[in-house]
Amino acid sequence: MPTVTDKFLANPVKFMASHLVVVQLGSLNPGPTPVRL
Amino acid sequence: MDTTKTCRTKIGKLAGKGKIPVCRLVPCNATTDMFSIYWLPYQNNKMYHMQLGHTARYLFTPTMDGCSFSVGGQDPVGAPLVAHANMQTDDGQIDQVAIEDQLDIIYGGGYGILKKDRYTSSKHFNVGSRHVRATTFGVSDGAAWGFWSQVWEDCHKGVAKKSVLTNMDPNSPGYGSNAYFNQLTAAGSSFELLGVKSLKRRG
Repeated sequence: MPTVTDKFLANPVKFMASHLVVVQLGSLNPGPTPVRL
Repeated sequence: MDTTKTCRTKIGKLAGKGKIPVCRLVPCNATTDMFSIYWLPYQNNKMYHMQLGHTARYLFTPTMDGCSFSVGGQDPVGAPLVAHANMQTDDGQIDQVAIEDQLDIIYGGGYGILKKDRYTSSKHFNVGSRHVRATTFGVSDGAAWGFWSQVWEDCHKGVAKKSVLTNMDPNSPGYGSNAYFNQLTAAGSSFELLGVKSLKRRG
């Protein structure tokens, strides 16, 4: 069963076209940062 | 800027007639079910900018409800310089002139910009005219970056009503100049809307 993250990674633009993603990252430092959906 | 307080579940649904799933992007220390992003921060009355490489394939920046996002630099496709700017007047309103003054300094020339009066105007994105937000992001294929923004109306305690995704394709004519977004928004047919959702209730 693919996770939400799996679906995003499979086709991020398609995913973003069919989901609303609300960013909730707080005060992370700039740059490459691990996240999940 | 925090529009997430009513998103209590990891996956929700749009309010009203919508059927589009709502997700939250959250920090993660796990080793699985995660991915890396470039994170372009936001702070009141400041501008953050960064030059992207390809260490991560995705860029996100905080939800925009007045800020401007810009793309440019010497290599706006392969190694774009991106910025999230929030300059304010003394009474706390968005100071677009000051924002663009700052952007002129860091870019020293043309750049693409998604700014408040574009994404909050219903005539451009048809998502409502109040409480409009933009979830702006970039995707790299390992060599070239593309940028898009979900433009949506935040209504009824922060739950989205409607969402469209607008393409900031760096290969489009005019990319890298202010005229780019003006061109995009001057005529609805001149830009591609991806994933405009049907808001009709099923059944």
